[in-house]
Amino acid sequence: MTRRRKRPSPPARGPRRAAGGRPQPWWLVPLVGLLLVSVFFLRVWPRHRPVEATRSLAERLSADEAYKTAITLGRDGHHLEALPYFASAVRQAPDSWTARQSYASALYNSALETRLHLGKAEPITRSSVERITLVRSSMVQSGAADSMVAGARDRAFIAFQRGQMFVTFGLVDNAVEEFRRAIVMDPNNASGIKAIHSLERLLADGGQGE
Amino acid sequence: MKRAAALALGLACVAALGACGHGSDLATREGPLGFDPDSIPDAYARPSAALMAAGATRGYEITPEGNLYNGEWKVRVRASADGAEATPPKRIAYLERWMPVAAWKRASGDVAWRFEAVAFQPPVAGDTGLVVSLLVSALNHGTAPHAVALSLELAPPDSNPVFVAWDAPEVPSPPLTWGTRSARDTIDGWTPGPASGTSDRVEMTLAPGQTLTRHVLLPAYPMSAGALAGLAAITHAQRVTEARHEWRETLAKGTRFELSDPEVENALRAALVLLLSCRERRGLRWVPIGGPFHYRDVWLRDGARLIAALAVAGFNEEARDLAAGFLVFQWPQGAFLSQRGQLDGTGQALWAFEQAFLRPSPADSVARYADAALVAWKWLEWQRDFGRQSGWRFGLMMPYGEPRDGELTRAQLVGNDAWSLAGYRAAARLLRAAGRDDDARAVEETRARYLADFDAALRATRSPDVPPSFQDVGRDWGNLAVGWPCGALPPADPRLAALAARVWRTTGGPGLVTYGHADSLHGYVGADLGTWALLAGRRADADRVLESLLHWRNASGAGAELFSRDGAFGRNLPPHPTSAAALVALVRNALIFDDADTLELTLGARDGWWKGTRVSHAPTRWGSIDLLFLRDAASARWHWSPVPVWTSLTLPPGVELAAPPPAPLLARSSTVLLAPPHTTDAKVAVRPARGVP
Repeated sequence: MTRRRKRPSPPARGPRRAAGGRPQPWWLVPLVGLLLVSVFFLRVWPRHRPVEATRSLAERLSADEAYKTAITLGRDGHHLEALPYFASAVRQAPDSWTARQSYASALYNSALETRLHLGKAEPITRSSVERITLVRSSMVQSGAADSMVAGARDRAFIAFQRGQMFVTFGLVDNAVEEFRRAIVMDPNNASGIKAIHSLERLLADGGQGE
Repeated sequence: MKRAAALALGLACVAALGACGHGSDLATREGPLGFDPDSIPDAYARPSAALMAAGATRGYEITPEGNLYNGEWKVRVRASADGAEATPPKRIAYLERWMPVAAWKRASGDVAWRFEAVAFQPPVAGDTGLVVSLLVSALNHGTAPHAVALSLELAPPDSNPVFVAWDAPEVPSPPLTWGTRSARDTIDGWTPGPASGTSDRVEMTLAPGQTLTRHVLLPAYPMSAGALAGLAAITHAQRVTEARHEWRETLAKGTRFELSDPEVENALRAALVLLLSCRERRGLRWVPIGGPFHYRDVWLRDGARLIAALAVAGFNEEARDLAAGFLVFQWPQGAFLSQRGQLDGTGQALWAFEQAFLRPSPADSVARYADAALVAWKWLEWQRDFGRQSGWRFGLMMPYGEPRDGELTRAQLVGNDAWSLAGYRAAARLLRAAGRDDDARAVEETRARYLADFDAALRATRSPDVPPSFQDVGRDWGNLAVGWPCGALPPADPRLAALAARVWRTTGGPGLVTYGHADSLHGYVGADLGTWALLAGRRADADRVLESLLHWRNASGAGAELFSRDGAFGRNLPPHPTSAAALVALVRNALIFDDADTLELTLGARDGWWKGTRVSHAPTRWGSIDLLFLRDAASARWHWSPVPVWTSLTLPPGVELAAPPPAPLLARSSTVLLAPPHTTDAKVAVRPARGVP
């Protein structure tokens, strides 16, 4: 019986040894081709099927459906899982700033997402490399959303969300700058006003209090 | 056609060996390594060791009970004689306390069990995998026969494991199993058999003097039985020979330290083995990880230490690859941040770039890192300006941070500014190396202002030393790096001496420092004070720090992060690469220090090293140098490669100049000489220092 299960982590880069350069007999190429096809069907395809299925499902959905699925997943705390759906929505509706900003939020939330794994609470991402990459991608999407928005309140919303992200990661001066931008654009934004007052008080006290 | 036939024959042989299961056991007749693991010192209360490899994303822990665990499954080892379970291992040691061939012993009455394990990375395991070759032997020392049993059982992690592999499935599917023959099955361990499911059990009655052996292979990830059977055709003894050869070859590429001091030489080797092993790949990039088990993540604060240690130990290519990996942590705003709230990351990343890309000469790619440093510097300056405009009390310092790490507080941390200042110095050097003198000058000017502001802010705290934060809350952490490597205060600043006195008072003198509880010791956080002590002319204190670092290692030569004075490390398993980096840095700085504008030699060379020390291929900011020094009763001598800057030479401990030094040497003091640029030799007359018997 051939038994298969979780594939070992794929190599992070190509194999160390390069193939030799000697001329090969005529039958070798078709044989290798046949072997590769066999290996694909016997080993690779079954293992990759779940991932491919998710990806193709996200791509098969309309922008609206993909967006709704992503929002549902995000609401349930599955931010990382929501990313292909947001990506699909953004790809299909590239001019939608809400899709981009939601995608930005999901990327950021994925960087914070945790899981219970074999009894231990841990980040859902392998390491800070992946988390910071997600955050950087989030900023790219957020920047794109910002460039599409015409209304001041919407721009304020984006700035406020960016400020919150900076607070979470500890770049508090950058956060103040974003909150201030948000308030300039939307002077009546109560959340923004509250956030900036709270943060400025903390900064003045060197993080003490609260 | 001949190649095809040869291939078929080879495969057939491999399959046959795998099926018969005897190829591996033959290895033991070549004999295990003849070292006694129990003779290797271990400072900790429980033995443990790591089997790991660069690029691998999992490693094996050899647990205090003598089991092996990779974060997904455990290999539970039960060894007994006449039904009596063997005692747990007393030590789990690397050969010579550095070569990663681990051995441990157990005993059940007259029967002595010996275990020996080595990790290797066959191509079939992929670049992220590794395989452990484990050889078990039982020898009946008695005069009567004994019925022995060895059971190797594959089991899931405990209910509350110390660590789990990030990519371990919740439930292995299909279940964990041994493989005994070449097949396409996916298995979790290979044994010559017979084995059934999760259990590999062998029983035998050993006559007096008779030996039982068992050779198994343990992959870090499930592998095909066929692939492992193929690997099993190579004996354990051959695997050990290959590992020894590869590690010796690898370490030979770095700086060679011949100190007439085997303990320190082997400690350096152990540290470098660990540092080189704590690397993972992300695509084409390399990143430094915080440890092979529970710290398998990336922190700029630990990674920078690892990079710096490799850079000064001659592993420039590895250091540069890792430093290049840090670029992923630069945010669009310019800051470098790997973990939430750790604002020291920007300075540490820039410092790591400087360490890696400027030794032994500026890398061709230095402009790329000078660019990144300039963007980071602008962000830091923007922060300072932001604070300046706010009028907040410590507005010119970095804002508050909550690093969720050793500082245990939310405050404006002194270490954040110290590291930022180190980053300014690094940025200026990188820019100058990239030929951008104007930018370098601008950075240097702002650094001078920042240094003055830092000094003023410290004074405003009214602390007699260097507190952890400007709010005087939190635990000592980044403030311990203010003197070195950050250079935020000059070594002679009395606040640094007061800081050292405060943290050393709790431990009873120079050495490691406590963390939290007075009964605790921290494996690296206070080690920077060792180099500060060297720079402050307090070599005896530096030597005690080195002695502590050397002492607090296990039998594989590795230090833990946090432990009690009786050696209990709880769930915070050694090895910790930052401890290793601290040891490399201190030994190297005691021999060759090149952070300032003068090359400083033998700052802290121990008395024994003066019997005759040779350091070869040591990268410095002024090129790769060789250094030779020795002394006799009446003189001290140095020979070193010429450098374009002044060289400072510190005399051996306990002696002073007996006469004015010959030209062109100058006496800076009775124990320190200065040699002009391009000098290569120095010899001076010495006598016992006054007050020294």
